[in-house]
Amino acid sequence: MTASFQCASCGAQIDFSSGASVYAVCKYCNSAQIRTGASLSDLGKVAQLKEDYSAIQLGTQGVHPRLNNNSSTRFSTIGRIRLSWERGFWDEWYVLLENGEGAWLAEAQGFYYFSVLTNDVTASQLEFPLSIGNKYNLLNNEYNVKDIKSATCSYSEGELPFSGAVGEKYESYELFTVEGDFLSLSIVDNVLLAYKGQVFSLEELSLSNLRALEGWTLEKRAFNV
Amino acid sequence: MSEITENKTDGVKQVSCPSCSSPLDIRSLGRGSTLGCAYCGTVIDIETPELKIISEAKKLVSKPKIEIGKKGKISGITFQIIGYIYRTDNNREYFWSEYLLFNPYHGYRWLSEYDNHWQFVTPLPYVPDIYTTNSYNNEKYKKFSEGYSVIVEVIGELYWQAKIGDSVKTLDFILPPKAVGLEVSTVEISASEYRYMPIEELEEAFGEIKKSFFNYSRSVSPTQVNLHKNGLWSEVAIFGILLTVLFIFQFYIGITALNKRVLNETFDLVKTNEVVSPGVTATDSAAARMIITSPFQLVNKVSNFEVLIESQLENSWLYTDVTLASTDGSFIDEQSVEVSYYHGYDSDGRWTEGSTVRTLLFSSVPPGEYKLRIEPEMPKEEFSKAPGAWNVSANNKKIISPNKIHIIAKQDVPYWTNFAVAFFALLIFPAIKIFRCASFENQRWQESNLGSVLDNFTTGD
Repeated sequence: MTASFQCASCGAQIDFSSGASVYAVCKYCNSAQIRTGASLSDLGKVAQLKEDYSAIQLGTQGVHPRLNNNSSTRFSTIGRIRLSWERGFWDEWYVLLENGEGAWLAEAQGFYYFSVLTNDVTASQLEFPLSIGNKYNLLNNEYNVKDIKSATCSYSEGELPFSGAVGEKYESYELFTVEGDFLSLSIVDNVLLAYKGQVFSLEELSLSNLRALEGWTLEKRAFNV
Repeated sequence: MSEITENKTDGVKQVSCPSCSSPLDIRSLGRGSTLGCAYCGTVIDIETPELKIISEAKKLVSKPKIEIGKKGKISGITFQIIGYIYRTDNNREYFWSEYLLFNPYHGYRWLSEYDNHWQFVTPLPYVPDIYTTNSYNNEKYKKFSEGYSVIVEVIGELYWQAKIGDSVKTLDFILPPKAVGLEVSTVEISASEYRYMPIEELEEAFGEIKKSFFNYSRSVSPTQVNLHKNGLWSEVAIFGILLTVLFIFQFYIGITALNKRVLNETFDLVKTNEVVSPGVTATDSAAARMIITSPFQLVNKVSNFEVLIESQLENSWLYTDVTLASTDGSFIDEQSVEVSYYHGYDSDGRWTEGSTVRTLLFSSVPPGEYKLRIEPEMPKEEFSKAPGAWNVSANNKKIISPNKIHIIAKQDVPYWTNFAVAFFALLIFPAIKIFRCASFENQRWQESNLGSVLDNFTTGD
């Protein structure tokens, strides 16, 4: 499925491993590229992160234990978008599933949030702006609004299914059921994208090829701590 | 302005405090957001290249009990202490400390300390509906407190931008040693699991903990296990079993006791001039003629022996020595008793004092032939009262005249005294345990700002 293109800035080869990807950052010259038809156009350079303490990196692999019809599905990380808000930031990693589809993996405070785009949630089912504690019956379940953040894309790398241009504004909402299933809603340019997912520990996703971090070794816990 | 430099090993970077220029370590660079200076109390934003000051310098009043930068292993995972927050409630009444633990692969945990009680805190990725159901993971919790948590001081790193004075609403639910805490702000609700961490476990992970002079806990932690509850139910169960045994034993004694009447005689009290008791003069009282009962047999076994003395007194008294003696002279035992009975009317109505009947108990009396010797005394004017037929004995419905003494004796009577003593002796330990258990819970709930202590104990598990 890999499609090869030439970087519009430096001419290096840029491979798109997912057919759904439309955006990539050249790993040689750090220029952001958007796919338009058969070629790429340059969106300008992405400033590199001075420090990166994220446990996940491009190439991190894992196994979702129960994705489609409860079967285990392998995935690998191919892109990242960093969203910064008033008081911090978080990373969303774009992963390629073994069936060729895309999904998202985010890490926050040691929890790994795995989600897949869903078309079954529409803006008409919700009342924007949402506020903390609002309840909605969506996808045959009750979801509570847990988290609301206005964020801006501050960094991107690898390939993405939409533009990961730095400066893009996101309205982000996290809704959870009381069992821990979540819906992640993001509004970019007045378009609502909904992702449905579940929270996992590092062990549950069998994550491998994690970033090596100076001073730390990867330990696996025997039971939850 | 300040430069971030890498002059330490283990991935630790350094930065100069923009306020006091002290070198500050950064351990989670690229993830951290806030850095509090341990020297001047300034809180800075390490995400901004110019190290923007979030909160100005102020004199620090608290000090971490575990050094920031220390690593320790908890349940197989190494955590490094990277940050510290000193917190208070809205009324600045309680102050507690929170230590941020970090592992780049497993995320953040917290240690919370108040009054030398430590709790290990694991943030939850979602919010369980414990605030409506009081249950979490199919276990019932009790709402313990509701309040605010306000940041007083920050030292080291935090993963969000924290300002001095930041406040969140808190709700806590307990099931010792566990608890679930909720924090509600305008942008987020978050939940955490708490677990009471004994100091030994903490020291195993991080080495010896700095101790204050008053190195003991003056309170009971919300998540502290009530050790008095340990074995409480088994102790109560043992009490129940022993009580049952005691009842069966008593019942056995009751049905096997001979409880045999061996004597039932009535005698006239006849005045004599012999005054036998020293200190009692003939003008006040007079001795009645000594009475010797008919001989009677005590059979089969060594047993107790009960003597009932009855005299129909009218606002008067009778005092007597009672001697039990075997006719062969091998056994003799003496007791004395005062029978007195007064009654009348006053503003509160009818009153009575004393009784016309008293019993005496002789213990361990061997079988054989016996007699009783009765040596009564009573006020001398009693002897002059005319015998009448106006009283009925409560005992045997026989009409007893005043100026008479009625003696009933029984062999091998079942007695409840030993039973009562044993009962209370058995009760002591469970009672102490229940008292301790209750006062521990009482102390725990004194720290709660909800409900009454009593409600919370009686509905407790």
